[in-house]
Amino acid sequence: MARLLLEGLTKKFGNFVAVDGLKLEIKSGTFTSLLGPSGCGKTTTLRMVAGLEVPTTGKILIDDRDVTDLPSRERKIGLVFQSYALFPDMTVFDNLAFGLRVAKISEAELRKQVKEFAETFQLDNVLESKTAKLGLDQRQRVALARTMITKPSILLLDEPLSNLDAGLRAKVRVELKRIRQQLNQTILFVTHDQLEAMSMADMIAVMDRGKLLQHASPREIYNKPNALFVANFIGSPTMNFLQCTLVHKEKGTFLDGGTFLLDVSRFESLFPTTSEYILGIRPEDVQIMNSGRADIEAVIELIEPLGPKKILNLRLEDSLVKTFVPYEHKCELGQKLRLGFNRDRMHIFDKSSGATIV
Amino acid sequence: MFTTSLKTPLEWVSYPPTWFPEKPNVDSYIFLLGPSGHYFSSLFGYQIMPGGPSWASVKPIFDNIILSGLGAILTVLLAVPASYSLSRYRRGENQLLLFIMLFEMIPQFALLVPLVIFFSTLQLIDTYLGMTLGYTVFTLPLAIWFLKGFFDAIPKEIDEAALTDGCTRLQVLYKALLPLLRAGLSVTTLFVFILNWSDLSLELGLVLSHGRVTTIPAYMAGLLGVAGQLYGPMSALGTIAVIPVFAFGLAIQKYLVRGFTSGAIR
Repeated sequence: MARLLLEGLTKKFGNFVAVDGLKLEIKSGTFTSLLGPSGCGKTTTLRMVAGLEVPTTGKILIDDRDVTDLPSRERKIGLVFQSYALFPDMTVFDNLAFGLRVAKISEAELRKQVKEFAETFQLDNVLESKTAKLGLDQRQRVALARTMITKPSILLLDEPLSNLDAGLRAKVRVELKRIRQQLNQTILFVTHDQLEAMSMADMIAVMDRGKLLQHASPREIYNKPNALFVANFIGSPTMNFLQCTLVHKEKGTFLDGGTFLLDVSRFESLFPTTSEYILGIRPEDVQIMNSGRADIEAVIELIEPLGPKKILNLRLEDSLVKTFVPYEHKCELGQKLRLGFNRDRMHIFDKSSGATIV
Repeated sequence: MFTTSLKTPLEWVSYPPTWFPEKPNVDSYIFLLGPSGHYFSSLFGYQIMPGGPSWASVKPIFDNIILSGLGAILTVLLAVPASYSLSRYRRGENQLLLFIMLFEMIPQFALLVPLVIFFSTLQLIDTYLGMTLGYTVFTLPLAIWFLKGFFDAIPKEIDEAALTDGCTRLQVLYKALLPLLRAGLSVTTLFVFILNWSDLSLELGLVLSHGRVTTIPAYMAGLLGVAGQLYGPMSALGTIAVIPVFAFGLAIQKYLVRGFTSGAIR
């Protein structure tokens, strides 16, 4: 249970900047996710916290102790690898006991602790098996137990669920949450799967190309993304984006998207001087208007059934707009629909970042 | 060679040479390994060599085993840390390969002369220590390369897991990695042993013919001079000397085949 502070953390591989001036505070006891696409620097960051990579510049503080120059073993962290990295040719017992043996704990005490952890992680029946014989979720539990048994201040996980199929994923998700709750452990995990992050984490830190974009709760990130990238990355299906231009008229200020015109006069002051913007609206906030004023008209191009709902892909000139309808809703390809945008749930992004309105 | 070892002295140099001994006998072997004086008289009808200690011929075999073994152990001991760092830190990897290739291309005899001079200055000629060191000189690069291959087969994540679990770099080596390398270590040691065993040049160069240290080739050379060419005993000794190499070859052929064919599957 410890606080993690990253200050100005930078890592360069030759000329390639993997992590750029990362500033992040992770409060004690939280379950945080480093989320981002492949290559965004999240794993590198994790490894730097673990002590496996040396930062080019910057500081890492665990519980206000500067660990930047300390080797892994002096940092009190635990790292669970994506591939679990269990010691092959050793029994589960030996794997779990490894950290304790290195710390020169007595065999008797060691035995007790291993048994305890084995029970907690439901591994007591495979204690004497060699790791090669275990199933995937068992392996992960061994990896977790092996790390937790050394009582780390911070638990680091590298893509914990990516190796597992859907069924196991759900199981392990529950498991991790339980650990977090019971032990009040500070957990930092890295993933590229936004669903994983959204469902498990208390706080999400979204990264792209080495930079931290937003660090907030899942709800906030979903509802108030502070950048186009974040808005696009989170949410399945992804947010709809429509290009538009800011125009000033006597009547007020409008966003002109060619096929639609939106009155944004009340936000006039928020807009900087540029004129190109992107309107973002999530599929669930696009409604089919049978009556009343519609913002756009579009033609159904694709229907994707999704169990209780259907996703309609509608063509609007050169963009596609998605929206949800209940499964029973009658519609067919080529049908023209009138759609309205939920005014309270629109996002407007500058072409490069995000000025947002909710 | 094998058949000659079973022939009578008359047949050793018969012309045309016979393929199979007419009366196969193990006199040569007995001569070699047994009390020398006694049998010599029965072979030739008169005594040439005074009855030396009965194990006079066995000594070279033992010496050779001990020396090759010591050399192998020393080589592997030095090779392990070297190949560990090469495998994990990758620095000098290409240079090593180049060096090994060049090293193996040079005929050993060329390297032998300076080595002998060097060793004699250090008074290491004809000593167990000298021989062991000499063996190591010639086998170390190959051993490092071999062992590095085995290290490379272990994913780096095992290292990292051990590091985050509290090990120092050195502890990673002997707590986490060495148990996984048992197979690799034994193979390498065996391989070096065989290399040492068949290393003629070293065995001739660093040893005086009737000195403290005797190796098989040196002794064999001695057998040429004493009472004419004793081809029989020489062949017997040669046959004995070849056994370990033969056995090794049989043992690893399974792996050789696997090595050849696994490349093909790709």
